[in-house]
Amino acid sequence: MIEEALDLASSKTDGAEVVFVQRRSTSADYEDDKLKRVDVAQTSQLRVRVIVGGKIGTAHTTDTAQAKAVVARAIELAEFGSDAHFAFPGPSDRTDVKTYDPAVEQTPKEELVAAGGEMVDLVKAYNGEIKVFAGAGWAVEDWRLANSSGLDVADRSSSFGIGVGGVLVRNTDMLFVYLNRDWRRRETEPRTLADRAIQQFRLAERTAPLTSKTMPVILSPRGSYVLLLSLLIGVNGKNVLKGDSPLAGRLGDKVAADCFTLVDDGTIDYAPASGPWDGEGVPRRRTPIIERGILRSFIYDLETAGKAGAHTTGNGPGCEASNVVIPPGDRSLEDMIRDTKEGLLVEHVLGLGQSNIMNGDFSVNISLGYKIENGEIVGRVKNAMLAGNVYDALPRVAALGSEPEWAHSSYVPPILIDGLSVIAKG
Amino acid sequence: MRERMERALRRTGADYAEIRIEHAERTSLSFRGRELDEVSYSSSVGGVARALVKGGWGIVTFNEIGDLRASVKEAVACARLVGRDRSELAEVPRIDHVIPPPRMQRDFRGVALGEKKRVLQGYNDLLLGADPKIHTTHATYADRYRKVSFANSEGTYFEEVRPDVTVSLTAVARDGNLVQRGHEGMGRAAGFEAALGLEAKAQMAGQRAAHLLAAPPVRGGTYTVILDPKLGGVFAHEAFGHLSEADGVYENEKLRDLMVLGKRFGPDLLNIVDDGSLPGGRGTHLLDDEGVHTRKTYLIKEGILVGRLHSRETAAKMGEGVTGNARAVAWNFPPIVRMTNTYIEPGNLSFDDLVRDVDLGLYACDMLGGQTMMEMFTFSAACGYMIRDGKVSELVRDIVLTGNVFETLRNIDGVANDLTWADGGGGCGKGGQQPLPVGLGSPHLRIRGVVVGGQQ
Repeated sequence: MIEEALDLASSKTDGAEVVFVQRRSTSADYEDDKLKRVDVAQTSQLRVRVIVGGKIGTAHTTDTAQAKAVVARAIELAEFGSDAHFAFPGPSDRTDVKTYDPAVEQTPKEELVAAGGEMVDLVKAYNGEIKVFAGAGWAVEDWRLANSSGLDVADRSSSFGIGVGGVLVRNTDMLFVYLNRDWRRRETEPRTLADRAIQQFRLAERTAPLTSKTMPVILSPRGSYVLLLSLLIGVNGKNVLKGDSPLAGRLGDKVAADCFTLVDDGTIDYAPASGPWDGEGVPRRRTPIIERGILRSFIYDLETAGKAGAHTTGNGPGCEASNVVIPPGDRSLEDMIRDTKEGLLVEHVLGLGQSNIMNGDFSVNISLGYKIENGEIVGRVKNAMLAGNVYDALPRVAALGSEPEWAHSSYVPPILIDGLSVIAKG
Repeated sequence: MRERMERALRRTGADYAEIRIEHAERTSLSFRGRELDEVSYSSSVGGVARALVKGGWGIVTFNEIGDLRASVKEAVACARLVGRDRSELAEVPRIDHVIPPPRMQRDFRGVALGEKKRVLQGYNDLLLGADPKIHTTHATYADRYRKVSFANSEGTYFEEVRPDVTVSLTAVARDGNLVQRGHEGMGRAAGFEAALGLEAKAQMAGQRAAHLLAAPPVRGGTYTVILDPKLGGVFAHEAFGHLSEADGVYENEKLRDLMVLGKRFGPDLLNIVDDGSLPGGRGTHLLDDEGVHTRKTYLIKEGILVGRLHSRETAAKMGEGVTGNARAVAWNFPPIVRMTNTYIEPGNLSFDDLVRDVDLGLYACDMLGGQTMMEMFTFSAACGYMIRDGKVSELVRDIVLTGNVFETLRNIDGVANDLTWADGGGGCGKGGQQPLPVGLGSPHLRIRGVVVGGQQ
């Protein structure tokens, strides 16, 4: 089917690319302490991208019987498409990275049910009043890309995910905790994840009073998204090319504290966003974006790099980061807390992305955050907001923790920022 | 197809089973700045088989409409792993209905791509030309034609066509490092005609982006806030509506206690409604994705919690009536409890009445987005004006409102008589299913003591 679609497309265009993805998945989900559903899915998608008369057309379908019609539609769309600034890449060497663990798809449904059940039982054993939700699931994806420049590559990848969380209601106060882990190999123990969720509930047992002021804030690996969301939009080559990013034209400038380095790395074995190729058949790689505070590179796909006079960084299509790595510092989280007289540890925020994120602004509700007083966590903060600007905050990163953790596809340590504006109600 | 679906649902061994199959087509175009950024077309065919055994669900999703019987069998096998209890589904009348397609003055599937591009480019030019400080734009057009076929083991069968057309217009203005956005949008269950005549919106978005460059950020603090109808609609939907979805409540005793019917949630002047049968609403369907008729449901009446939104399962388990709120966003998802068109009913006051006795407050307009986590909410206004001595005063930017929904509802002390629907073209997200077309409506609302985030 791929061959047929590519032959047809190649014969009528200046260049063509066909991608075929098949995905199989199984999952078990618990809600409100109970097993609610088991899901099985088998899906496929055919994507066609063509260049005709220097213009791009794309079309996709889940109906593989429609391969010819979709090629015709992509060609038709190219007439109205945007100008192409790239050619489809030819054969290249595969990036050596592990993406498939056969044990993942050998996991029977019963084991997924049991993994979720174990996590529910552990959290319920800590506090029976918590309404627990949990889930476990796996997916396997077969991906193949062929183009008119002779590239024909395929990859099989797996992912195994577990998640656990809960809601604790007291009067009109609702505490919400959720942790999950996705990895291409079956590795994470349900017990480990449940223990970490319990630890967060424990820390939140008490609430701590707060007054509005500027104070040091430690972003946990999950909380670091406050910085990363804007920053990743800012280094996206498309936003740079358009001049929308505040980082446009600033390569070589100091944009963050000396201790701060950030790398886009699609080559880490079994990491969620790793792969031998990106979605355009370009080998994935490791690209330092910020090195010791200096802006070194933006993130590119073929088309954007072509327009910008740069090279693709293997992040196509769309110039999205793969795995984001911030190398750790040398202070443990305990030390960072111990050295804080008055501050916050932020685990989870709400409303990120609603401010002017392109500008780097954030003004978020702290949905899970802990008050630190005289070197100790004294309780959870309620009705509090964190406000600031990412590009103001990055130069004020005072320390990085020594224990990085995976949060979605980021591998980052706790980040201490000197002085962020914290607003308390009243 | 009907026959195949019905045959696959015979003698399954499950307490209940259903198949939903969808055919969909989508075309989208977008401009960024002067350039056409993307043109895309997609078609999809796929379905979901769902089975209920002893209270447990098995769900099988597929693209290949091959052996439907095998898909149902697998769903039953999954359900057997889950069920330990007994199945409960509210009884509903059997439906046999091929619903005539909604009227589209111009079916967008027959409109040439060149014309779609020309219309969007017209808006994009207006965004770009609104002010010299406009730096770039993001303008998108999308249409989706979705045909749903549904059959269940109780003999219900229906087909429904659901068109949706959206236009989203964003202008980005820049002055040095300061970047501001203006956004207007349109989303309707209609034909191509709905995408025409949006020139005024494009100009408004462009001008707002430019004006915001000169506006100071709002000073963080606690204010009396007047929400405009767009923001009021988001508030009703995000902060309160999601808590009215029974799937989050029915097995959670604490939440059940909190959301107990008959409890006072706000002042007498507050009425909140969800109505999936409202003619012309973006979230309107004759039937939900379980084959239940949509209807008007009061959630809050005269300040008292009087209703909530149900699927057949949650209605049975809570001993309440069905409401027709089980909806799926696309072929690859089972239905879950969702809102349709949610709005706050108008009151008696004029906008001027609301503003008159506010000494220092904020008039917050339009939305960039909203999000809730249980009782906490945050939503961002696209822009706002300070209210000083009873008068709407200077423009301010970067307004993020946050708080506890229960306190905030109690603090509503004025509802205007100007109910307006915000057809912004966005959509609702829940359980990974987005963007689901929903309608949002509200009159101007005045709320005391709202926390407004901002740098101090």
